Amino acid sequence: MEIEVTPLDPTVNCLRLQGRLDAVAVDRIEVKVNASAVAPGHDLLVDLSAVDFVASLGIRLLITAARSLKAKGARMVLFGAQPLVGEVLEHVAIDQIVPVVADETAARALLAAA
Amino acid sequence: MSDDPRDTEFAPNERTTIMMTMARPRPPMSDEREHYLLQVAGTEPGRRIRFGRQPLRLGRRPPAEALLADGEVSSLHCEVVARGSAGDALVTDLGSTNGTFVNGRRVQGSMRLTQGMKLQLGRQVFVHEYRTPAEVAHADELAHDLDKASRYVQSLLPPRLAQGPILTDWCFQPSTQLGGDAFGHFMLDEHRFACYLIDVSGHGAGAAMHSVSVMNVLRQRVLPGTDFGDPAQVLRRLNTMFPMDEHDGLVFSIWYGVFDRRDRLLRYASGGHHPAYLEAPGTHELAALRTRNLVIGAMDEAGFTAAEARVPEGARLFLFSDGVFELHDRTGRAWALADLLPWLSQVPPTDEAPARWLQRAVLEQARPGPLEDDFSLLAVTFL
Repeated sequence: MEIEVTPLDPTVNCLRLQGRLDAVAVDRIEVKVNASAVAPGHDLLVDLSAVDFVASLGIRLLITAARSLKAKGARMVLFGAQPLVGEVLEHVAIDQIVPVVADETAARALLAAA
Repeated sequence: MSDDPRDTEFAPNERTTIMMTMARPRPPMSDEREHYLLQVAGTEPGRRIRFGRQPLRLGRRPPAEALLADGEVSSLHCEVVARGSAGDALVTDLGSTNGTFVNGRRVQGSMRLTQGMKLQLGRQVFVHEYRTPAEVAHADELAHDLDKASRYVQSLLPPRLAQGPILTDWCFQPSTQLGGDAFGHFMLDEHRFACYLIDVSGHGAGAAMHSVSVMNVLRQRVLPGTDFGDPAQVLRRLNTMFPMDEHDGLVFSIWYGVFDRRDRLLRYASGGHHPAYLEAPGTHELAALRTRNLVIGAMDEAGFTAAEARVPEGARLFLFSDGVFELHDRTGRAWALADLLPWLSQVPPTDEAPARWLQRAVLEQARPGPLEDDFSLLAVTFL
């Protein structure tokens, strides 16, 4: 699992995850995600397009990041999930805590509209 | 006391032996790393085989030094040996019939083996470790604690119901790391039967402790002011009782259902959980039972909804954790939920142990090796 955080503009970061978001990967990236992607005053778009599997620990990682951002007054949006990952997100109804949209354009539009 | 024979002195008298033992400090544990093969699947999980610069042969019978009781293992199967640079080892296939595999790749001649790589012979799977004796002792202690936690979870699982109008069968196969699954069933009263399955998102003793806490609340029915016949209310109360902020960041998914024999309705609610499946007798058709709710503990103000399904006589409910379908098959392909479903409809209707039948069928499809997650499956037949 590789991660990459890119500033899209002064108030929005994009976290790109790549590979399998399983227990081993979560152990490896959890601290890094919280340190680099959960920043006060910065909304976060999470690009899931290169993620081919997400385990329950991965779901917990996303929920924790969304909650931390909310506590810091920022927002998070997930986008680009492949069908199998999308199925898992649907099963856990994660959109009740963090919006899930199709692509980056929709994610940016959602932040702009709010 | 020391058990080193050099600490014992013998008097030079044939009739009398004077044994004198001397206390001396135990030599400090070496901090030099050594090579081990830790068995993670097969006949003796947990077994650790040490090897060094002297080649060690693995096989089914002597002269192999490490013996493996497995019909798929050849008499002399392969050998392992430490190499010059630290942590490096070499595995050589000794012309075995069924092959030696490193990380799923068949060894042609010899192959390098480094820390964490998997070595497989027949159904026996090992992980290569390069550790100090102190680290090994620590790992053994942790494994022992996990084993105890696993036994505790298993001791709380309900007896299977083999007679009466409702029959149950289940299997619980914990992963080596213990995945935080738990399930159970109980009669609410003479008419109503309740069953549930929870899966804590995490591994190890912490996740197991959390699942046991939730399980005990359900077993004892100690959620204040809760009607256990109302699945949505049960989930709502659990969500209030187990917020992640107060439970080390842990959340869990749950499927909870109550069957009433009087109206033959199954009322159910799920939180962050994939569906359970109800199969009508003789049809092979599966109805997905799920309500769209968040995992438990993630958000204080989350709402929870329930639904109901009519249960024909002879219908069977399958309730399982994601460890049952999030596995890799023998070709290395990752399964998803859709890959499991055809197997549910293939369970023979008259089989008295449908959960264990499914467990065998599914694990035969799976790549040999340790389970990545707990494998928990509950089957309920409503007569």
